[in-house]
Amino acid sequence: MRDYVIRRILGMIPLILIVMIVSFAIFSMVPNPFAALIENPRIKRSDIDRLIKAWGFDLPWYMRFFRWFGGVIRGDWGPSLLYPGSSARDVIALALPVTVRLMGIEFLVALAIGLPIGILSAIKQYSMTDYVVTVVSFMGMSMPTFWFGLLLMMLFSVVLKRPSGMPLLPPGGILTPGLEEASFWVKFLDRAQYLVMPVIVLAFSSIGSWARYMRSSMLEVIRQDYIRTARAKGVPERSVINKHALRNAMIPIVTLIALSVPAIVGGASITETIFNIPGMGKLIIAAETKADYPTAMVGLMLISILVIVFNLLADIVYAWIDPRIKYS
Amino acid sequence: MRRFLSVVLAVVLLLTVCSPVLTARAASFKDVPASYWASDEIKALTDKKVITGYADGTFKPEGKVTREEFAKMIVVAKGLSLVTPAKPTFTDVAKSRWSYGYVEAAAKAGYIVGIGGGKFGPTAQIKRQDMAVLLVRVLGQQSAASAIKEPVTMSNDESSISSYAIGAMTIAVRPRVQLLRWDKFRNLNPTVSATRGDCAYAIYNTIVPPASGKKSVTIAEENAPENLFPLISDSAYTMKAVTFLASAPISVTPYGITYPEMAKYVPSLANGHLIRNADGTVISDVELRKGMTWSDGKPVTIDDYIFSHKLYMSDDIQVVSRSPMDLVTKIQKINDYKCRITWKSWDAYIPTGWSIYPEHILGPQFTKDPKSINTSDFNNNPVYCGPYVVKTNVQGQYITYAANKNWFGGQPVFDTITERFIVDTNTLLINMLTGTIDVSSESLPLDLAQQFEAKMGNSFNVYYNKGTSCGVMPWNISSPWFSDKRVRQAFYYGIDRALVTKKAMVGNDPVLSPISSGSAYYKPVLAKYTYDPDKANALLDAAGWKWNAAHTQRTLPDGTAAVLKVPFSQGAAFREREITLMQPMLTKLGITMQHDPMDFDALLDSETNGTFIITLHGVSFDNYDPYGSVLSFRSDQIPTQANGMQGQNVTRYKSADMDKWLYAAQAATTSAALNEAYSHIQDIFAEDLPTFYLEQRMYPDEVRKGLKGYDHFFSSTVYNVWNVQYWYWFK
Repeated sequence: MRDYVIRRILGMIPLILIVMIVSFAIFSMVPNPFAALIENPRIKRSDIDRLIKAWGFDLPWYMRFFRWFGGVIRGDWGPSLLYPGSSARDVIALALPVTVRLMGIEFLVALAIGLPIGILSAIKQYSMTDYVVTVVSFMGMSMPTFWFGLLLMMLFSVVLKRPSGMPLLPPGGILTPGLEEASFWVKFLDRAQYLVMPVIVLAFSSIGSWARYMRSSMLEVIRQDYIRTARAKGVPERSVINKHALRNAMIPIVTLIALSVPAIVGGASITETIFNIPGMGKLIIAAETKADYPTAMVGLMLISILVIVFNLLADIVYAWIDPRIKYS
Repeated sequence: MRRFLSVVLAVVLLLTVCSPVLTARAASFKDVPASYWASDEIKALTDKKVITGYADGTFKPEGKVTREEFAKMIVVAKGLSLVTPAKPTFTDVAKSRWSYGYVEAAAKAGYIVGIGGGKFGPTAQIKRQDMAVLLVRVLGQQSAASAIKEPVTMSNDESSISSYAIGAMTIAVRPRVQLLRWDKFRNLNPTVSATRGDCAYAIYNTIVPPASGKKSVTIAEENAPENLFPLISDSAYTMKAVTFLASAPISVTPYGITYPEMAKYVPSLANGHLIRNADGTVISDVELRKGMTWSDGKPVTIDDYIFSHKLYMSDDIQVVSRSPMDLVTKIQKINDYKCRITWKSWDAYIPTGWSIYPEHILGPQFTKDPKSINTSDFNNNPVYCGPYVVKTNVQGQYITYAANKNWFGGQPVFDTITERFIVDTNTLLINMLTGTIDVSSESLPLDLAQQFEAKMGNSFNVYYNKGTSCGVMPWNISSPWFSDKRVRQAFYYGIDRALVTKKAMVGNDPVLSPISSGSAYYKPVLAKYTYDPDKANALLDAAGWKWNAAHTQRTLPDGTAAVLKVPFSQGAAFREREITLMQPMLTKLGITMQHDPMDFDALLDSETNGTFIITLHGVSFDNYDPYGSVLSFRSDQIPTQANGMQGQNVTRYKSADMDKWLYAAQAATTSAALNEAYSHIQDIFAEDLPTFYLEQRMYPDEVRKGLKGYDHFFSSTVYNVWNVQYWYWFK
């Protein structure tokens, strides 16, 4: 097992390098952002040429890559083009906690609701409950988040109001201006109200998936002979489900959970845009479209490394919870 | 019973129809439309019975006011009792005079002191500066006024203020006082007689000062600023945010008028602070006001200004624009507040100079490592000397600005301003519908602005501003396609530019001149090209463009089929719509038009290298500098190896006549000479058509009713918050 882990970790290095080169090459296909400056009457063509040179866009992509990579080795991820005056690392550092908070809560909510209803749906297969869960799950999975998000905002912010005339829930954002000096709990509650709608929107779409995964995994297990044996020998139904079925059904789910963790960092660009949340998803998309390759690369490398690490973790956990699996 | 009910119903209906008309009539004068600049104040004072109109239902807002009439107005406005002493205070206001009680009451209250020699001059018209002096006394600020020795009025006619009125005029234009407003040439006209409108405005603001209402405002923007340091940012949102924070030595109004802000004057040939030498070099003076401080309390001196030039010219800093700073050959410090600059050649922006940055903060960093300026802490936590300072900056969410109480122009009206950044326009619309936002400018597209107006029109004004940005289709005159003037004219006749503009949802009108419609030299010379496909076809026939046998497609005189690919920037949805809308119009002329989405860089390269036939993209005009938008018609601007492919004349247009007038405009030093040159330039343009202009963009502003001082317009170089320190809620 130890040899296996070491081998996997060493294997990650070339993998990360390849990811770096390929993503850099793809980002380089976005043209430099300075051409559009021509529409500004105060900027001359010579200014644009100077900027293109200053930011290195006059070099072929591989030369730019070596220049950038040289900096990365020294710990300098480069300046941000999206936010000139800040470093790419600082820009990501501002967006990361915002996204982790939103996506982390969403992840926990989705698991806390999705898994139990998946189990319920499986043990009551073909019942009314099962049908309702299935229909709602598919609805959640297929509803476009931007549409659902706007609809919720219309309802909770425009139609429903507080007695003070203010919207019941704030239509997007992460905190209320003017509460910077307030006490911890006031700030905590203020931030929480901004999370309600985006968490509902995101969780609604993933609850469906988790419920469907759980349901099929559970169904597969409860048809096994050892479940029938357990029931035949008179084990109470509750124990059959909890001790025998659920534990085994959780094996693929745990793997899936481990593989889903990196998404917490990646953010959800559409939902973040609709709810005006300055998170990673929105930032990385904006960085990519404005040729801010240093920022896009920091974000992408962070996500890539997490995906690779959590893949390894999933494999290790898999071996740990399923004694049949052995790595050598 | 039924009959009774129907009578009641009829009466109710009649009342419902008539009542708005009745109320509207009662509340206003027929010569004071709601759009009149002082209409709210006139209405409010009429309601309070401080002023009355004439028997014919007019107010005559432009009529003049005598000094005794003004004395009466202020006595009534302040609710003073009439005073009739046995002995008159002034020899020319006798007891028998109608205004005696009012003049004496005002004199007793200390508001008026007369014109010397024991006289009051009751029948003389009151001058604007005298009105300011009088009302500053009413406000109880005469001691503050007498302490002011140098005027700070940010007006172009500051030097014409009489010495006795310097303090009062300075106080009169402070944000929290606002007794006077600048005219469109940024003059205060101190020695001109005040109009009835002026008096109503000033008296109202005396009894209800601008800061009486709520002292905060929330503004929504479509994007957050990249940073707060415009030297290294090309973002309009950065410029806009910095407008709150920074004052400039010389500023420009949205209407293209320069005025002295931190400086004492705008250098001009007339005041002798601008010299244009025979060899083409230019000399200008910059003289800063004394006593100004940065928001951290450190004094502002000319050293800051001279240091700022070093920043602009440093190759280690990623400076966005160096125009016109790169023309400077010498800066000579005269004293701590004044310097003299020598310039290589003339540029319209020479009188405005450049922005000023604090040397005491950036200087040490610059000396140590110039590159460190690119990622300096200053970029997001700057120190400027404008009306506001950053209180909180939550990146990507909002910035809260707090008033800079030490601003040299006086304390701003609003204590705090919140600028919120909402990227998605649907989310922005929802936020606006909740009523938590007071102002949004240039953010909602036309259709959403109309939806907003339909829902919130009662509490918001929606202004549809004609922009300075427009669509342009440069065509290559050296190509067989567009070398013939008749073909170019055929395109102008054969494309219904107004219809394309409206249907593409980008505006209401096509561009009518190569000079901005906000410029003083604008002439709508392209209006003569009304949509006329027959005329267009006749012109193409004359140019030798032949139809095929089936009469479906033309060929160029050289035999190539008339299939025109129009490159536009990939992803520009409204450009795509415009081409789709032009396609059927050109089909009528036997020309097939095709979409050709392209990387914008490649598109511009093809223009520079002359390998294009036509392209479609945007361009912005500048109300202040019309020359910038016509320079590209000068033949020496054609990109060649000799000029390093830097020329702006990508259409390769050549005309000796046009060149003559363009050089004349460049050399012109009087507005008459400029007018003549620009008039010819526009006429020649309309005949030769060096390029094809499409839509004039329209940008809606949504502003809560009751916000005074908001100036709706669109300019690509000046932002709607340019005068934010003077905004207030009308009470």
